[in-house]
Amino acid sequence: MNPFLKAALLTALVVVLAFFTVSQIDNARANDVKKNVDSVLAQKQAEDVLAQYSRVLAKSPQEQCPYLFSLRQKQLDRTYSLALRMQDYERSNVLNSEYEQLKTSYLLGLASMYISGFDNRKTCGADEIPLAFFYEENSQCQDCLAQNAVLSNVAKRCKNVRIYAFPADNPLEPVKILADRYNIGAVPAIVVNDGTAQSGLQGEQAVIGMLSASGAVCQ
Amino acid sequence: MELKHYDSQTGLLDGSIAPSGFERSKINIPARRNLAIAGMAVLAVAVMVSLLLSYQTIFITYSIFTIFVFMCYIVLWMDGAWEDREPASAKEWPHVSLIIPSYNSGHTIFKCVEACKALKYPGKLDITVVDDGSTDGSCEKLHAIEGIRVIRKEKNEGKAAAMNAGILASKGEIVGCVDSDTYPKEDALLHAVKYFGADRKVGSVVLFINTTPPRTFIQAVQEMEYWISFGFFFKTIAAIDGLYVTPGPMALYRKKMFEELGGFDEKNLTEDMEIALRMQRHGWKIKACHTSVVFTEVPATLKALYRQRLRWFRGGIMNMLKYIDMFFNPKHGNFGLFILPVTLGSGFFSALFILWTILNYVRAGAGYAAPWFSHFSVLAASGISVPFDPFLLDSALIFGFISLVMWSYFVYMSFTISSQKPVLRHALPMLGIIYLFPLFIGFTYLSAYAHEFSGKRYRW
Repeated sequence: MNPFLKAALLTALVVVLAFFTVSQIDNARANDVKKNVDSVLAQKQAEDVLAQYSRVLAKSPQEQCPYLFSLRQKQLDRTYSLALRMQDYERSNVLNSEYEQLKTSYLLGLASMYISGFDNRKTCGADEIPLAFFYEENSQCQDCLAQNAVLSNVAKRCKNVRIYAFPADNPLEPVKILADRYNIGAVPAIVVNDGTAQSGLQGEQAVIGMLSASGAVCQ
Repeated sequence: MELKHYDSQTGLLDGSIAPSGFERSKINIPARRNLAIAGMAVLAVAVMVSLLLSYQTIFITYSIFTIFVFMCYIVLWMDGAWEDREPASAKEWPHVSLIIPSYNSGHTIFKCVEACKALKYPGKLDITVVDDGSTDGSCEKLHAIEGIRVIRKEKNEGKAAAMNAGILASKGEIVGCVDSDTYPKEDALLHAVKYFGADRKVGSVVLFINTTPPRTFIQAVQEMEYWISFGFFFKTIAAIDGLYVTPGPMALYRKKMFEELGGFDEKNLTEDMEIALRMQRHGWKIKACHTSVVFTEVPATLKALYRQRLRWFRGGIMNMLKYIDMFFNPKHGNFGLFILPVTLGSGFFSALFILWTILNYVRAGAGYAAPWFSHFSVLAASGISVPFDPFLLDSALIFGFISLVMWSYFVYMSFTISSQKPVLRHALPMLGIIYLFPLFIGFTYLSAYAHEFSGKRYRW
């Protein structure tokens, strides 16, 4: 056999094996993300069940509250770190095409949790302070990276603060309606406790100041 | 002795006889400008096309190309390139004339002459040093050495011109061109000359070039590189008559070949490659003899190495374009269909890949670094770092890993060919040749393309 043809066939074999390995790595990472997204969605469904219980079976509207607190506490950090991990995995992915779908599911669950958080506060008087962080995923937003770093630190210092990161340039309607509600024009922007959006990079002390004014307990 | 005239721009023979000496080529400025424009256009199109692709796509494409090329070498090797093809002992030992061009090489030329004088050869052997207008007094001292002839050129005209002068004055059937910083082993001629007797179409025999014992890390890396290039690759390529260079340190030539094709191109940056391509075009064979070992001095610093490789690669680009009609030309067999496209393609892709890698890392680096610089006070006051996971590897790196494994195999094979046993002192240079050297080569190719297509003149 012609040695160059032989080399081409062997190369094809090696390339197929390489693509197979790549697909295994991509799938393993996508499955990891999927598992976490499913966990977020399961939490959302659990909240819906508690709300339904409250409407249909509960003797008082507050009966669901201890269960709700326990449920939300479990997921306090996971949702925020998941957004970052998903972004990293998507960037290093070659063959897996599930990320768009996963991101959609995740953002829908996140938006729903953000909104229901306010409802829970009205019903249960929860002391959880929501912070919405708007960034752009399809642009080289250096300040968003910096804001992300600041907020990661804030999350560690303020135990009753929950951060929700929304890509302002995502076309998903629930995300768009939130961006419109807060008149997000420039990113990064943060909204503490459904207040006014603060555009531009905010330092750690400034963010903690805003959170403390809304009742957050920070170290 | 009469020598054919050839066109320095195209390498084509026009059939006329050069009246005296070799044709002194002149740089044709409009043709060079056209070449620059064509090169810029090709590079611009390649860059624009690759702009449309992601870095991952470029990385995978380049890796697959590399895997294919490496696989070709492995298959050729396994198919028998490793076999010792040295012809049986010669019936006649032809007259050999060694020519040593020398320019201000007082620190090495005497050792070189001694090594040449010590060569064991049953036939007639003469040694000529062509002094190319040295100003260091070495020429005067050479006259004192017995058993050699010294030709003094008053004006410095370059190595190729000096070798041409030596060839014109030589009497041997076989001409050996030896760099003044090269020292052949005493049995080097005994093995190499046999190839000329075995086949009348053998125009040149290249020897196994090794480096002198390394004194610096850069030299230690080159020591291995020479084992790989002049050992593994040359042995494999020679098996399919695909050698595209007769290395400058030392190569033997049949004088009849010079009479037919003309001498070295005196305006070429890599005249040793040009003559090889001219030989291939006109059906002369080039053989590699791995039992004939020569040692040559190599650059000791990165800067010197860069300058040397820049000249090699610029000369390579120039010559590849000069002989572009041989590319994919079935008339030239494996040489036209595989060796030339792969050689030019490897350099071009590695340059493009390095360019994209630099851009990618600059962009990513700027992304991570920008917050530090633009908002230093905010972050510094917080005492935090921008998040970055260095262990999150791109899955496309699998392809690069495969290329590296294959490249490591060549490094291993080169030890076998050069009869070396890996020892501890090889560990660091080995890491250098496997991981760093390909990046250096890619970067130098990028620089060579930029220099060549911008029309910048080479300064020796």
